[in-house]
Amino acid sequence: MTLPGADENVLLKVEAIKKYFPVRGGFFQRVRGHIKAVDGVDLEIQKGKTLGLVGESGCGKSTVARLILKLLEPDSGRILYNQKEITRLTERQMRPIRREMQIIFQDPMGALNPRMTVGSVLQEGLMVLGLENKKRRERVAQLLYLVGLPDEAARMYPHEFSGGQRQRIGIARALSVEPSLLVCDEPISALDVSIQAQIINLLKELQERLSLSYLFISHDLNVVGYLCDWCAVMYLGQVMEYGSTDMIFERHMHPYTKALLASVPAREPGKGLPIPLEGDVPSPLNPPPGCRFQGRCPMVEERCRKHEIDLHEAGECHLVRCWKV
Amino acid sequence: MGDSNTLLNVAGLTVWFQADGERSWAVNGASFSVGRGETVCIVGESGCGKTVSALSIMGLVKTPPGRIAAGKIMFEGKNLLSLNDAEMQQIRGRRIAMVFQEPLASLNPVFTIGDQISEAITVHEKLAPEALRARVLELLRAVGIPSPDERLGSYPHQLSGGQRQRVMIAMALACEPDLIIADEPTTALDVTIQAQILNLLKSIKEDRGLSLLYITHDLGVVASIADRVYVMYAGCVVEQGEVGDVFLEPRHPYTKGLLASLPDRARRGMPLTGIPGYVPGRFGRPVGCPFEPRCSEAEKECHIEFPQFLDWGKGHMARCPVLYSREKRR
Repeated sequence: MTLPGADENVLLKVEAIKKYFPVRGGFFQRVRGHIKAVDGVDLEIQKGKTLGLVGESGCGKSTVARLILKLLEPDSGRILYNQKEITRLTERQMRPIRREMQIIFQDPMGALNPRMTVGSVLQEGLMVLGLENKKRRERVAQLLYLVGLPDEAARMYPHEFSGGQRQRIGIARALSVEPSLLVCDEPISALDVSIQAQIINLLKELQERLSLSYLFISHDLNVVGYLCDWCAVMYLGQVMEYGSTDMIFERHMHPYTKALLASVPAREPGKGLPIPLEGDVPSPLNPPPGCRFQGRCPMVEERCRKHEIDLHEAGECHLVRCWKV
Repeated sequence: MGDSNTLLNVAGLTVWFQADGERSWAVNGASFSVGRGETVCIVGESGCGKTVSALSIMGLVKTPPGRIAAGKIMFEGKNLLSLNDAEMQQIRGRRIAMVFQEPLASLNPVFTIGDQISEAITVHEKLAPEALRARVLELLRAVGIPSPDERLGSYPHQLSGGQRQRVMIAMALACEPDLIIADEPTTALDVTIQAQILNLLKSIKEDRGLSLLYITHDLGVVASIADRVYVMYAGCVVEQGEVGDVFLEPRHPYTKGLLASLPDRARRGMPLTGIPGYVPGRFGRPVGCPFEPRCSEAEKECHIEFPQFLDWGKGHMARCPVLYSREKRR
């Protein structure tokens, strides 16, 4: 991978990771095929920066997140954290690194135990750190302040909060162990517009204050354009285009990126309807031969149908997976 | 819009729900109208009463726990709230049809889509089997389902999310209604599929001369599809007007706040203004302006007063105590 920055600026590097899920069925539950959820993805997250991962549902965004956090084992490829390979670490060796990488989920209600008070949710991680009782309570108060919740919140249960407040609790929990990397898996998709803005502001503020790095997964291109420094566009388990956010939004070269951006409705009235991309995403069980996007691509050629293509450099800090470029 | 061009006119609609104990006021005196051939959007955050308003028009508010306490829903000169079940049956599906957010939840998993669309037709019309089949095929073709002959025998789970929503639209079109109410029809879909469905709805609307009442929380969708828009907050309409006026010159602090909450590339590096506080709870019925607790421009009268709409011409109106008293002082 030849993206920018010296290696010491890179917090996390992913090289050609693959994850195929077996599909079983029929007689004796034989393996009938594989869902190619992630099929050779390279990514880099720089210290203190935000990498956005965009794509339609089922393109493998969340699987990439789970592979990076080692919640799933990759079939092949390498993951480097702080230039150290973590791909084959055992559960025990992984433990100190787990502290460094935390995740916040889309649905905070589903991610919080309804029977635990917010205080005890936040204390759990601190116990792992081995903090004594008094220190833990102080830290909980600090965390609540950090995410903009009142002190009383520690004694309350998740159902007593609104969606936006619950997402704040999820963020506080992730921050409790002082991570460097925060994986945000669609953190604002379930929230109302006015609340989304609050959470985005909070994430930005925390990034500056705690010099966090983010992997920001979203299908909302407006949010990605606002928040991210780098951007990777995924389609059917592969990265189609990769570069700085400005590059992706203004000088994109891949027809899929173009179609994706054109299908976002404009916020100014009078600009007319968004331009649709025809067809549906094909099944990852049986991706088309050649370029993954060939079935829906308006610029498709013979070679796109036959031959696969790798990500290649299209300019400075700009990678594209397309025969036309 | 009180003239003969008005297809639907909802006036002072008030709906509450009561489980046990406190009443929750879902819609609190909302008025809106849809003209013939017009696309009208109702936009607002969760719990603002946009879905309950739509269900009230369709006569689908379950009573109890719900109750339509006040208001009129005039459709072609008839008050839908005074109709009995049999009369309402003649309107629902036939004159006004609805498309819901979650097509998988609205389609029956054990019947083929052909059966389900046929049912939507036969409820209102008796047709011979061949004619019925031809009609279903024509509908599937109209909503852009590829190879409709084969798809007739498919079950909902065999279709993609976008195709399911197309089937829902085909069912809504089955009896050639005058008005389609679409409640967040693209919220569960990817952007590329959302763009397909928006284009489909627009072309169907134009080809068939329908009216469309489109309910959404997505301001981008509103900007691209609506002729007029109503902004709802806590059961009340707070601003309304032609979409260009409302978006380019928002008057109500809530509308301004909503538009300032939207992140996009142009605002990079600047914090989003947003709206402080949280979407209000379901209970209680504010006396003054419902937005007062979160409003940055609120003054003391906002707590007790919620005046009528101020009009800036071309039907651009907002309902705000501060603007109202400023206007009165002039």
